[in-house]
Amino acid sequence: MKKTYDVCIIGSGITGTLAAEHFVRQGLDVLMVERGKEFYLPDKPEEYWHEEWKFTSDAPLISRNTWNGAEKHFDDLVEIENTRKEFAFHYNMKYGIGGSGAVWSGASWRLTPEDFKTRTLFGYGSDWPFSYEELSPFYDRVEEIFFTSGPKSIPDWPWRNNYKYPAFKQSYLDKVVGDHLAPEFILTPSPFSVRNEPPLEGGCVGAKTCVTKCPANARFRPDLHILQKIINKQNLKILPGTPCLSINPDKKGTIASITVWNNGKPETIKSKYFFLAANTIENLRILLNSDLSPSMTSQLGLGFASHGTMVLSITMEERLYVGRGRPTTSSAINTLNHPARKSLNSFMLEIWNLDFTIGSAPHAALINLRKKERHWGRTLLQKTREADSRFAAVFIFEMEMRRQNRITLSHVKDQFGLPLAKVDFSPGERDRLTFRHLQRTAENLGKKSGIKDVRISGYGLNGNHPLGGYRAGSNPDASVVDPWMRSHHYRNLYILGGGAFSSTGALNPTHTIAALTLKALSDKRISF
Amino acid sequence: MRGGCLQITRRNFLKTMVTLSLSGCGLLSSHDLLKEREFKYFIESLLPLGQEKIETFQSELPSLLLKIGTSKKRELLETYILFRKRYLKAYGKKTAFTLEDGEAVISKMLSDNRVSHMVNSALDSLYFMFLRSRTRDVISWGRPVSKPGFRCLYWEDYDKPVRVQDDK
Repeated sequence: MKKTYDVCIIGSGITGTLAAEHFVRQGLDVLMVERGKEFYLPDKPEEYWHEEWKFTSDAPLISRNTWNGAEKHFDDLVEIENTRKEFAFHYNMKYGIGGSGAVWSGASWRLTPEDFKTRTLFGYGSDWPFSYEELSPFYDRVEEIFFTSGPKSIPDWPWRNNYKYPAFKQSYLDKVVGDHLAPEFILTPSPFSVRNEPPLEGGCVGAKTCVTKCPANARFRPDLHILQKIINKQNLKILPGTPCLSINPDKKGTIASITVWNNGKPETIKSKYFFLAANTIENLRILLNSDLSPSMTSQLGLGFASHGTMVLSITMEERLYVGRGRPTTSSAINTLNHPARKSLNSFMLEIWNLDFTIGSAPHAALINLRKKERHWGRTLLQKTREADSRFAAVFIFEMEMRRQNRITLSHVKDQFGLPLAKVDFSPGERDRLTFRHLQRTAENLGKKSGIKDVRISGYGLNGNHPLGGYRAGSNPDASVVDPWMRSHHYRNLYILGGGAFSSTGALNPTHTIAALTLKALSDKRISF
Repeated sequence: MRGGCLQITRRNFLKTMVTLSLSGCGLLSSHDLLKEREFKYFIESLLPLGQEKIETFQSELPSLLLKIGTSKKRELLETYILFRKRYLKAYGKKTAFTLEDGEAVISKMLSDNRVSHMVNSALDSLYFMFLRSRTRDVISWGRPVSKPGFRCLYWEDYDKPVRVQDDK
């Protein structure tokens, strides 16, 4: 007879590893299945530099804040089908042990208290089934586990936090730019799950390779900082390269098993509890591919959204020494709860200590200008210098979670027979108004003293922040999971990740996703 | 070797072979090139950084040359030799060097189909060497790298104002 596990966790990213640690430490029998294979990013950061950087391997590490190079370590990348071109969702999540948590920027914001009750306060969207205050203790715990660095206090940010380390110093660029952006945008040090300790003691080394891999392992990674602590426990079994295809309910209102693809054939795995921790899109693919109750299926995928982004390329009058310090240290969050939030979505401005358009920082600018445009001599130096006055700033804005925006299954299937996710998203009236407002704001920024030019170099949906689709709520007819992320319909199924969000807010969602996971794990109804 | 624009005299050929092929820094350890006026003009035309910075960069060249391959070094030297020849022919009688003269010579070399590939490649090598130099660090970051040998970008001082006088 096949073994029945106590807990089966689908996915090994941030949510999956948090759940695994919780149950493994209780001595329970835990199985973790992960679609991707084990991957280990190279120890030598040079291995994932741009080709051009091999010419300058003695130069300080700069300019690396992209996914380039890391891709090759993920042999099974995610595909998606978009039904619309405008505001298409360019999915950027990863398969592999550690999931996308192995390759994230570390931005560690809490949502604002207002984000939890947009319907009550501003008349749009849906309120969350719990308040910020109820989630706050879980945020505290996440900040401890993730060794978050952040400011002790932020103007207009009255609620407490539990940052383990002080905030990173704002870069020189931030200081120069901040003077010109005020008073509309007040730059504040951003919190990051990155150890703010001296470089030789394991802290950030300013290498700018945060997303791909921190050479000092100073940025939180679930595979390194959680999984490695429990990987040798006898009661934990990990199955990499094992995609989950469906979950199988029984007639008693529980999930009896899951079907996975293991060693070239489908296999069922039984467990007392199932934690779906494979990120919003993957969770929905598995759920929609399962034979679940029609009342649950009818709610799945509804209200999908992500953050809107508008990338600005800003040229200042003076030199900025772009690239000194971390890739980003500051954001303007005084705009999150602006006075017009009843008609316009929440937004924030993130300042990047690099320039996306030229390849960031003078070193990369010189390489690009030389290799691609063949400049030399005076012109080369002049253009390199001009590039050093240019930096990127990104408006991140809330998108309304409209029920007509949804994830369904495509008729196209992946290599394991699991249909791809089909995204049907179009911005609503509020989203369009917000977008136009930000366009005008960008134009006005260009008129400020000290700012030479502002250009919008791109916009779209953030491919790293898929949110909504299995909303948390108290009403089973309008939501998929309850306030503890337990399925309304199957009492041993917990669905983790950003799909449970009721509003996107404008701040990076990772900490909220982790806090929701800890909330789910605190559910007193889980018993063995 | 006579005739053709890539003419290298026996003396220069020997120098090339001895100084470039056998030891990476031999080229400049002999100080022959560094002492040549035209070599300074060549570097200055390609990197008009001002006298002080050019001298700093040139003093770094021996160690920087160690890090590039022999063929690249040869291209660089052959490009310089070509520059010297053309510069002396066109402006040899002038007493003072002007940037415009140097640029005119380089520009013609770049538009000469017979040598433009080599010249472009040599320029790449020179600029990538420049990227590795401390001179470049100071120009880029406003001050030297904080901890030599430790790959860290001004951890201690990345938030401080830069020494703008370095940037003139």
